[in-house]
Amino acid sequence: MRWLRGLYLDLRSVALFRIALGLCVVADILTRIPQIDEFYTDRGVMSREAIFRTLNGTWAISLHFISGQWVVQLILFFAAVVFAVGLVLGYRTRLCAIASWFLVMSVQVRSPLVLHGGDDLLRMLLFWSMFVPLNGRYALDRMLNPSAPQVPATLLSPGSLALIFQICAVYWYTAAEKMHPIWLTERSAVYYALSLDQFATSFGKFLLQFPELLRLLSSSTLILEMFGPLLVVSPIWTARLRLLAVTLFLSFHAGIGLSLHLGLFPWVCAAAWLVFLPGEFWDFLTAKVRRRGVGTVVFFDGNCGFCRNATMILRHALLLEGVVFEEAQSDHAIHARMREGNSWIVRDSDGTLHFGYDAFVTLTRLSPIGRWFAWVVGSSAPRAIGERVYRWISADRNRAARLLARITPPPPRERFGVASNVLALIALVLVEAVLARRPTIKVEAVEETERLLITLVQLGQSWRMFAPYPTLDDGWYVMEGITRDGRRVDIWMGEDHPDYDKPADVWATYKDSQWQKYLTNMWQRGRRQDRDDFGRYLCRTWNERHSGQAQIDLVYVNYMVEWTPEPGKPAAPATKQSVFQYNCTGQAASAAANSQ
Amino acid sequence: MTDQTVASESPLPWWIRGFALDLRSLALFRVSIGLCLLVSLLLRLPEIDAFYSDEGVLPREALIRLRDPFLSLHLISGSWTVQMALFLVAILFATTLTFGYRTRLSAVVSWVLITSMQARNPLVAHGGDNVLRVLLFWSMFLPLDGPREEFDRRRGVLHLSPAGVGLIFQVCAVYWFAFAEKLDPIWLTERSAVYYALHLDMFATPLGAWVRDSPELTRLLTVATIGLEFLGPLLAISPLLTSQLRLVAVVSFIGFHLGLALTMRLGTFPWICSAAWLAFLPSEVWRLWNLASPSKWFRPASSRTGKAGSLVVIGAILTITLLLLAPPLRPASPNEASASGRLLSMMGWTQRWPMFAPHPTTEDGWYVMEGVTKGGTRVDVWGGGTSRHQRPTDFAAAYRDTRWLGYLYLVRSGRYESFRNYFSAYLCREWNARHPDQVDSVLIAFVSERTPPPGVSPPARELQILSDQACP
Repeated sequence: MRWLRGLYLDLRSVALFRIALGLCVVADILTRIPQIDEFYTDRGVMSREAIFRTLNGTWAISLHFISGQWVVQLILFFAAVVFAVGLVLGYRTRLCAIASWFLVMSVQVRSPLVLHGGDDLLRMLLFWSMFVPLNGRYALDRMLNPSAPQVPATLLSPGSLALIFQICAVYWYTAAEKMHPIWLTERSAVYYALSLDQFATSFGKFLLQFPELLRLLSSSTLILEMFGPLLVVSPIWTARLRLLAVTLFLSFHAGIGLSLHLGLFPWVCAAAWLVFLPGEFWDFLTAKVRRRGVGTVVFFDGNCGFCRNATMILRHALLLEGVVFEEAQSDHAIHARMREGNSWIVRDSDGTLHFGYDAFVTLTRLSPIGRWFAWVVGSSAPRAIGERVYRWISADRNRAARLLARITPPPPRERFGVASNVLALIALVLVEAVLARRPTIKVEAVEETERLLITLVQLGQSWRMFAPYPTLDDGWYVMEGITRDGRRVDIWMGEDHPDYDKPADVWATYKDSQWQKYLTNMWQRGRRQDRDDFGRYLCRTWNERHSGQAQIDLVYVNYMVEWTPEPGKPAAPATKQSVFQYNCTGQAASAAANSQ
Repeated sequence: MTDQTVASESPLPWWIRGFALDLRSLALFRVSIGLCLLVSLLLRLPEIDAFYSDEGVLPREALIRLRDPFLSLHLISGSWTVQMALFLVAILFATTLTFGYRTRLSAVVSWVLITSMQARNPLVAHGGDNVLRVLLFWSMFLPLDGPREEFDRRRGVLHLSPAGVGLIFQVCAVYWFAFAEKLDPIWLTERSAVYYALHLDMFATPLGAWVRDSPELTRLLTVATIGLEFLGPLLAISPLLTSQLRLVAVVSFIGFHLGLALTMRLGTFPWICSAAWLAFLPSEVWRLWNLASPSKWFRPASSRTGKAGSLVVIGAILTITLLLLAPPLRPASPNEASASGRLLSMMGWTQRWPMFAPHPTTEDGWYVMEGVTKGGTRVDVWGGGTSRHQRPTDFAAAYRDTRWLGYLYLVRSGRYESFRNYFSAYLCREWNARHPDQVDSVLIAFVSERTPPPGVSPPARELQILSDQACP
């Protein structure tokens, strides 16, 4: 139906989305691996004991709870990387999507104090991915099953609708929260956001010199968030408007990524937008690829099932278009050459025949992706290896066929079962309730079940990026330790004397976006248990690196608060606030003297 | 792991014969272990709330303070629902193990889930659970499907592999470790151990209560127990008269455990141990009943017996190393364990079998759990009705079952003192959920009764207040 055109997704874009999403998961996990000790063990700043207390009675699940040991956590992270790579390659895609979602959710339930918006979005995108055929195109599942029936090119299913809704909802709900003069009339929101030194990059600080530009950016941000998502579901000019929306949002997030340190957030958002690339975009690329391929013919041995299979796999893997595939038996001259050379044959547009590995190199040059690697593939060392592999395969086709059969995954499915679609719809209803912050049905038993289900699969989300207005208080931490011989040391930056002056680069004092989130949480709503964990962690890490009198007994954690002035006004100096103090010996009660 | 099955009538080298197991006995072992596992899981279903959820007597936050190096899948969530789901999965795989469907997979999943379940609540684990866990460990590597005709016509029905040797040594180790812990005058010279054990009313059955009054008989049983624990396993691996001596060992151990089951309430322990001994049944038993007559499968001995010898040596070295590396009999503290000890402990490989050793406890008694309602009446929050302090007539009912008994026994000791408040909170919650007359506070006390030495009159009872707390 015409008017539904805006709700379809192109499977090639879904595949690109899958690859980008998988890469985001890999990046996310790889950034967490160096932080296992501080964030995922019982010795770190979030012990399981503290997390268990907060989760009491909910259905939240995390595989990372099985142990508080570093090595077990490392193994779990490693497993997450493996499944995410499977997602990128599209190998056993559904399994990898489910496992990736479960493992990412596990990581997030284990470490609630370091989560930011990007984590929520990543988890939700993975969640909806489980209900969408990600492997219809550009996936090993597809390539290794060349004879499986082709899946329709476009997609409309409960899962895909939910995915579209989820991406649009991020912007709509954050825009709805921004109905505040700072965004609407003063238009100083971007100024305040870029004035937060704990986020701003040097480019972001550079932009502060252009107040008019900042006002323009404030209003365009709000307009884009409100109306941009509408462009992708338009029933008319669908392709052009979608391309416009994708371009706008990718540049929007590129701009944010350049001016604020937000970790993986811009990347995850960018990955989400790729799913809206219109089919016309791919048709345009395909036409270009086809022009290169026209005139080339690939001849394979029609009597050998494995040969046919292998050539078809190559055709899919190299994304060849316009190239003709023929049985060698159809052409006597070619067939004779094939028997003579005991090899498949590629005849290029000049009419030259290529055999063995050389034929593969020829095809690589025609491939839209492979051409970038053609010079590597064609150089001497890979050629020597490739020729050997080719000889190995052609010497014993049965062995190669068995190997291929062993690694062949089940073929991609055209559509998912009823159960999976029903689950997607239920989840969609729950997500809508979460976003609207009300239960779907006002019956106590239903409400309770709903609440439990939402924590079970972690559908909770709230999109308040710099809403209703960017926070006005900024600041940095100064953490003082008192050594046994009475000296004061800066235990956070590892310097000798604690320095309360404003650092040149405030962001650098937060180390990275996970620590930034953790420390902000500690300042805004750190509970007693969290402070104890943090204090213990600070003592331990310092005392492990120092010995004797240089070890510390007492820790003072202070926060230097700095309020952002109104545009054009001078800033007041930062004031020192005590967050808590901690006694490393654990003898005396760890006093939580909070001046708030 | 490599394995090899050799013809049973072939002249195996004399020193190897004691390490072979009959495939049919292994299949019987699988069925009985599967049944024990099923029973063990089903009995816990009504107690998931109490023992495995955050609402129960040991929430996760308390558990992880208890011991450091352990792994438990059951920690993924503290909710009853998720725990129930894990139990249902475990029950499913215990069933497939019993029937021998996808046996290897079922054994692996069963081992993972049972190890995980036991790690989730070590306070309710008793000797039987520990035996079950280590038996399942070796089961993962054993051919438990029984002989298949076309396969075993070539290979015979006797199984010889490092894992087989592991299972044999494991069963023997249970008794030898138990024996080693019993080197105490009460077992060796005074021989009053059985007297003391049977005088524990929390364990004793009516038959046990009858037996304990006969001093001669209890002395005899003491000697028989310690003798069997040391010598019995030797019979099972004897290189001479292997079949005959094995049969003697199997019969005496199953008899021993039946005797235990008749005289003491030890839950699944005697049944699990009996199941273990079924794996040792010699081939002759099967031939006696002419079951799946194996004679046609036999083939003459081959040169492979040399390889069989190396399998046994590898298995023996491996198993003994594992047994010795496993966290020791009396660990100073779990944190002081070596790296290998920690790893083995994570895999549920602690090897400690202190059954009534070195000295059966002489402290018997019963609990008083008294709630004070808002109206001021005193109620028995454990058994229901009004509060009572007098000696229970039925100790079996007073302790509910072996899991509660294990928990109540441990929570009394000083080491678990900090867990008592979770217990009293659990009692409050349980009572208040079921009764309109809500309780405000719960007092937990133990009436201790010391077993006097034989012939001496009992000392006075003693009331120990364990906890007296307001409901949360």
